[in-house]
Amino acid sequence: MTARTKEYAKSLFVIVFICLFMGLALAAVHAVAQPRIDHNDYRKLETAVTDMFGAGVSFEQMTPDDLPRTTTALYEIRADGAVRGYVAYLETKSGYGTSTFVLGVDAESGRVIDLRAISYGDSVDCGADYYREFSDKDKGEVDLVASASPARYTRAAVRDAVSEILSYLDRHHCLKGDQP
Amino acid sequence: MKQSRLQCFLKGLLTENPTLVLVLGTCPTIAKSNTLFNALGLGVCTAIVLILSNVVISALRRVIPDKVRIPCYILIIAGFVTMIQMSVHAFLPTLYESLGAFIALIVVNCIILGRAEMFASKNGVLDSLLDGAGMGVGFILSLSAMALIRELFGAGQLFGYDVPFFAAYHFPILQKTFGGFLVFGIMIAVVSAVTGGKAPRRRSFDCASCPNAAVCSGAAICGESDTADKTDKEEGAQT
Repeated sequence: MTARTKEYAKSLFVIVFICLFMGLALAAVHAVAQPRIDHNDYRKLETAVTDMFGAGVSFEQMTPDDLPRTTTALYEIRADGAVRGYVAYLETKSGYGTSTFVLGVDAESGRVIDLRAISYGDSVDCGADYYREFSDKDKGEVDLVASASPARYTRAAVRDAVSEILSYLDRHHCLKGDQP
Repeated sequence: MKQSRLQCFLKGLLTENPTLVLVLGTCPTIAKSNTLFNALGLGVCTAIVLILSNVVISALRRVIPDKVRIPCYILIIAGFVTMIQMSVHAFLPTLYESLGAFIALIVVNCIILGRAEMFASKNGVLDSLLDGAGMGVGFILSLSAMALIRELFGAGQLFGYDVPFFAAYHFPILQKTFGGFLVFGIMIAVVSAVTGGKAPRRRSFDCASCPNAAVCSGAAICGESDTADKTDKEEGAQT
């Protein structure tokens, strides 16, 4: 074995050792942090559902295998046994990362009740700016094709995600009244 | 010995402040010094990563081969940043949302890689810990001082609460990026005036101690730099 080969072997060994060491440390932190992250997300969902549909509703995760690619989870909202609406987790990949939004849809009218940002992949301002604009509109009457702004990529991605879930609900006859 | 360890810690606060004297980590400094909450959060996260990476790199300095030292440092730093990111996401979600991508961007913060290369790779664990702590506290102080000025005079608030008088009379431009550069420039000027405008110099540098000496063709340049340093010192001694 030449000196150069030994040097390469030592370098490789050190890199693998550091990877293993950091990997173990990361696994330990992940084991502690992930349940808490899941809990925080659940609380956010709970708050969003209460704000959108009022207190006293129950929600249950649906597990269809053909959800749109932008929807990571879909929940059915029930009150007194009847379906009141749906809440979808929308993930939009835009800008520098992935942003997550919660979309509420009323089953009776088929209209969007609310859309709120949960996490922002690129910038807090992009999501917050979009959310403010949405909130100012009448329920469901959202001009998703917004003017050019720093958040235009996020807006376009969110527009596509909302359209996808609305047409999905429509296709699966989840909406009872006016179609979006 | 104790004095030199004290100096290891204290130099990062003012004389070798990473932000205002060494002018490292400028991007997060300007981007996230718009509020005190962001500044303190980012400062503490960076300081923790700095201390931990300094300690581990110092402990492994004799094991890490010279030719792969930078990838090894990046691996260590990236690991700690991911741990901090997960922890902040889990236990401080408001701060996580507020800082956004800037927590992950600590990986490419020049202060951390700079201290790993300049200090931790050449000194013992305790000294590196003190150096990391000093530099970390220095970063927190400079970031917080900038945020204090920008939030108070730019938004009339502190930690999001209105401050009497300033709430009515403030300059919103200080909250913008332009304001960040302006305040940053003024603070560098102030610190330069306080420290006498003496940027830290390399105290000793010769080709024999350089890890790249065998493959480097710039010996003449290094020699010139060395000579220039000596000339400066001689001139300083004469005056």
